[in-house]
Amino acid sequence: MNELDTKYFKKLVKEKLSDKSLRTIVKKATFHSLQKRNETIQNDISEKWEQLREKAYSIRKITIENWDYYFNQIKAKFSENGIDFFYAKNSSEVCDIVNNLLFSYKAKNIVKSKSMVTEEVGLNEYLEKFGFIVTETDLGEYIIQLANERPSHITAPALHKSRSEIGFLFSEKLNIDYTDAPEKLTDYARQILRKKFLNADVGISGANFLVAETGTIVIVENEGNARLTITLPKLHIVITSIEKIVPTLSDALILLRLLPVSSTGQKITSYVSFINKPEEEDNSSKNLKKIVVILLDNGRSKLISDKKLRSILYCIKCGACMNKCPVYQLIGGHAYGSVYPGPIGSILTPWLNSFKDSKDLAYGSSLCGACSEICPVKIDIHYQLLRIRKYSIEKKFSPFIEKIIFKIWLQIVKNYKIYNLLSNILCFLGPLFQETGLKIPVWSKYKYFPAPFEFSFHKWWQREVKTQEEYANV
Amino acid sequence: MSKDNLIERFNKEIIKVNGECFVFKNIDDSITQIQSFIEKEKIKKILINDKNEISRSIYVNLKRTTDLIIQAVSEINIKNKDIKEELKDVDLGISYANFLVADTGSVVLTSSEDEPRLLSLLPEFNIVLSTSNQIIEKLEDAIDVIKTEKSVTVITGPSRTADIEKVLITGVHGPKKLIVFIFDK
Ligand code: SF4
Repeated sequence: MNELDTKYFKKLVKEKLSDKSLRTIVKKATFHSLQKRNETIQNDISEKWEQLREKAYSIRKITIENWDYYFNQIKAKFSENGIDFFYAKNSSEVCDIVNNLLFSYKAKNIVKSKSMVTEEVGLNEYLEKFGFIVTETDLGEYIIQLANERPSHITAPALHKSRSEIGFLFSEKLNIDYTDAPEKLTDYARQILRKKFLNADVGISGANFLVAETGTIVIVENEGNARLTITLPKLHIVITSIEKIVPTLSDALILLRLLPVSSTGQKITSYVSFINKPEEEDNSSKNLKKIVVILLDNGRSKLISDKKLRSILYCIKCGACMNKCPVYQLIGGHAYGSVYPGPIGSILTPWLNSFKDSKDLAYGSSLCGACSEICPVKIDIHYQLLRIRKYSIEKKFSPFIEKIIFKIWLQIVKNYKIYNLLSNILCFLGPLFQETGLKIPVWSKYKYFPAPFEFSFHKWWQREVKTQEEYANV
Repeated sequence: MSKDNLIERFNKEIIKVNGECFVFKNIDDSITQIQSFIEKEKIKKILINDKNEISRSIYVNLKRTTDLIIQAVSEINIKNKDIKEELKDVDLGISYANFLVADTGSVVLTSSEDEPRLLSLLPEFNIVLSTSNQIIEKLEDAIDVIKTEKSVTVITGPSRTADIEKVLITGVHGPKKLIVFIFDK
């Protein structure tokens, strides 16, 4: 499912960096979300934001540290509430479970509301192979499904597309007259998708929180497509990952205060659905609808058992770190090549996929720490980036040339005499490069390397100490 | 917060999210309001949750004063019909709220035979009825209901999207307009 590797990552970044119109669109969209977020925090939130973050952090910390406890609790609650539950070790297990369910329901038409985990699993491609008709119903997801692309942002999947691109896409794929008016495009989508909803046999959604205390499934959305997905078809499948559990309903409500503000600057989204038990099939029959919850592990339980890494799973998938990241703002989500883009993607992907192939994501960062600063659950994102870099060196994944350079460097700094000699030579040559800077292969392609000063720090220090002493003696 | 403060706060918040709110002293005023709405939006078919004194009398009043198709959820229940089929061409759904949340301008609906989840979702327009006694300060105050009901939906303004270049558009999959009526004797 992944086309990640070092060379590919570099190529994508280069390509996206040179796409000026993409850059304009991504910048505008991320700034818009950030601005709304800041305004809402300033004007509309009665609690102190930092205190809320602190609370959210401790909720997530307690949950992940005691994950096995809450996992068992929620399993028991689901069965009490009449909800079927599956734990899936990896993507193919999710696909198999879904496939079996769809066959047993003789389903053909599937409607889906946003679920990043199904992207991780590659569910759509899998189901389409078996002849199921899968329709994404979130407007952004629908757009990228038509374009045969992947979400470029975890909460705004079509963030990278301009209105005219969408206009051309709709007119080509849906056979309608070209328009780039967002209202008209939205209205077309509404009409088409409404029909899909009414004919759907099965609805597949994600979930934002799963409450251990009550077994409640919490789904947050703005369009109403998730509500239709969970209400209309007779089978509702929830697919999400194992870390989505929260201990109590009041914990969920606290996180709910942070999630929409962080992602779109809304105090609360248009719709929040709390589902405890299946409903009757319709108001006349006593046939219950069916709800099935599938939780994907895919390497996450291993992360939970690692004290240093587990904070990655505190994430509530708000997308704020992407909006704030100066790298994401320049290259957009597709450049990362991973399912989860941006800072959270860079720290999560290496542990879920092949580490060797995706470790480079952690180098696509300036380590400015803006992500950690904005994260509503206070994940130490930039430290996690460093951890990946460290691990990749420990595992000897760094390029050969880098290894050699550092080996030589180590010998130099270990030997005082050689170090001094070399730095004196550099200082001597320094003035020659005053204008251009030093030309270091690869490095100088991207960054300016300033020429060495005319005397070394060591010399400067000696001189300084001397003057100080003289001064003191006077 | 006093009742008046709660109403005022609710009103302020729902306007921020593109919803509307009207406060009525009596049913007659609300009927006039609905009638002008029907005319303005060219409503043809209405479905109403009628399991309550206020909504029942609105239902009867509307039946008497307009020649539109107006159905009550209880009638469908009796006739054993599929609510999905019934709702297909309804353009105005009239719901009855469990709570209104002042802090966010939200409506809390619990699903039941009288308040099927699709009533506030499939039609293009949604009017939600409630009394001033049902306004709570924060969503947390409804936590016991959220725990015990089969499912609870919290609705804040009309359905919306900003998926195309962050332009805000209301009425994607759910109602294009959400109007709350508060009866305050
Ligand atoms: S890491 Fe933090 S900021 Fe980024 S998506 Fe997750 S919760 Fe949001």
